[in-house]
Amino acid sequence: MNIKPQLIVVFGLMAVFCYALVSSWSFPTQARMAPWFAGIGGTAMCISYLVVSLLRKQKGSAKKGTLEAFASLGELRFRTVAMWFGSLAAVVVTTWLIGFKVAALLFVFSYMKLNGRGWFESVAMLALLALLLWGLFSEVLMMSFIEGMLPWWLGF
Amino acid sequence: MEVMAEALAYIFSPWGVICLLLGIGVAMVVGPLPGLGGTTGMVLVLPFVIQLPPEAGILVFIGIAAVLHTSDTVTSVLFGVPGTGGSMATIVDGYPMARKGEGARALAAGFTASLIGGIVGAVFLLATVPVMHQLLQIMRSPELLMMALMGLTMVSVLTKGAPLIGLALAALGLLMGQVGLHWSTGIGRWTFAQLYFETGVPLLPVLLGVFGFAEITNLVMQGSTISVMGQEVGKGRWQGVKDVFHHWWLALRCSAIGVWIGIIPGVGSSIVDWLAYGHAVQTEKHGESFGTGDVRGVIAPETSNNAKAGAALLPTLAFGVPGSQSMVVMLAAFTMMGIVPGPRLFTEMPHFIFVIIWGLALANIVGCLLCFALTPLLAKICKIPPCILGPVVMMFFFIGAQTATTTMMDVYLLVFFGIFGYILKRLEIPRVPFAMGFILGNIVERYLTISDAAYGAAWLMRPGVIAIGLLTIAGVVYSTRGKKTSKGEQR
Repeated sequence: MNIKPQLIVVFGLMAVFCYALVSSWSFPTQARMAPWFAGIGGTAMCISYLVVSLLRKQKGSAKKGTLEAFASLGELRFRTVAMWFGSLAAVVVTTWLIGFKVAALLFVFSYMKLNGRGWFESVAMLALLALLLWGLFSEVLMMSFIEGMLPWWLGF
Repeated sequence: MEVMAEALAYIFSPWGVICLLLGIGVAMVVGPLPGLGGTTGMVLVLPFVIQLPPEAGILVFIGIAAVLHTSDTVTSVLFGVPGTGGSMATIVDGYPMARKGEGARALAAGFTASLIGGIVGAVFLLATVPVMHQLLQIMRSPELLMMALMGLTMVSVLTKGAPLIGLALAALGLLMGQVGLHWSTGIGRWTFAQLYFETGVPLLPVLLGVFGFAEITNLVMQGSTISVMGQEVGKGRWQGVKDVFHHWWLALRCSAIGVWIGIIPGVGSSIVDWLAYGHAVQTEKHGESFGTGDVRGVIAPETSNNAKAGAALLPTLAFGVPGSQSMVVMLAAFTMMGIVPGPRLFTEMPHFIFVIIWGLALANIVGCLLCFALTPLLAKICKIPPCILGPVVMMFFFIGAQTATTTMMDVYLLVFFGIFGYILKRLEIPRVPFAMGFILGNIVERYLTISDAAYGAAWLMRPGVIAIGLLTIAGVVYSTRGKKTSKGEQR
């Protein structure tokens, strides 16, 4: 497949601009001025890009910038991809469930352990981050974090 | 002279030193942490500062304002994430330098350039008060709108990758900046019946996602450290300092740009580094090396953003017109301390003004020395394995994102824009124009509406608008021609 993924992005952008232009039709004049400015300008840029892409000669068999090249993501080790995105999904779910502070510590600790780091290193990092979260951010900077639904469900 | 000496003596008094160091310390902590900008730092110390005498209180703020753009270089260079809005252009060359094993050199060049910019800003503050009023009179809404558009266009053209997609992404950013209740009609635009979007899409989750999430995910996927080369990452500090003195003329020119943009309220902090970067690309020899880890690409934005910090104080002090969000906090502190900003401040309280000027100069020197001393330590971050660096830094991004509204929507936005940014990165599509469009979205809309209401279509014919428009076109043509010429030479 020699489809340039940039083209997919450009078509996606055009869809967003068209939606913005159509939906802003019902806004009062003042409120639609800037969306039209951006929408028309953006659409013009996308069309120009498409025209330039069509006119430009295809150079050799350069793989760079093709969908094939993008799909080289598959060359990355499946374990790395699954572990990283799985951990991120887990941290989102646990943040929603038990709150950010505990979720963040679990995320860092478990990710380090899953990647074969030693117990001492992982626990030391856990302690340092706990100190930062509860000490610096919560107490000194007085920042608040997402609390999670579980304590609320349990009536705490 | 006597007043100047008195002000200097005050700064070296125990109270003066403590307050200045406190401000510098706060800036050193909040500057490198994405999400905690100068405004956060100033708000943090505000309850303490208003209890102090005005001269002491202002020194804390000056310490923060002066050193913030020195310390924010750290995240731009090491993680490819802008610590604050004014350090976005530093990423373009700073991050590739870190990847090449020249992290220490890039940081040292950035800190030294910041020092020069800061000093120039302070000197300017001293010298140009009398002409300031006339200059600000020229800049009305149409001219400010054109300045914002000029910044946006330069960003799209100057970043590596397809400029047309860059401009389209800038337009997408502008559109996203308009989500929420319209500022003058109150109508909700693309809020999808969510209360969260009524005040607009928060900046932090988007920026941290598009830059931070994407860069860290890329590092983890590659399984490599930030520095992929084998060199000793802590080496090259002195080379970075030498680089700045070698390119002293560039540093001075970019300081002048920082000063000029800094005095214009409203647009300065977002575009100043890009205008300086654009100037460097257009005027320096071998412009094709910009974007691949050229030290001049670090020097230009870093001198300009620190020079801007001093110059931005002028409209705040002289006319009570805050040029940025952090200046609003400073203005609020002035009011609480019983100081009324305005031209009379310069005649009735010269001692206070000189404390600010000296404070600005000294804070820059001390901040630069501290950052420079910490460079070898900071550069070692480049060699931390991604399985440790990834989750730890990502945790800071989650913390930063939550400072927006502390709801799960912040987290969802971070992840959504993180994946969007990662896809753009994989496709080698520039992400900076999108971020710039998003930042400037509100400003562009406001100035566009005011210009239209005040002048109708005639705003397009104002001399200032035409001049800035021509300058923008010239910049685009020059950059495009420059790129083509350099490609031709390479062939």
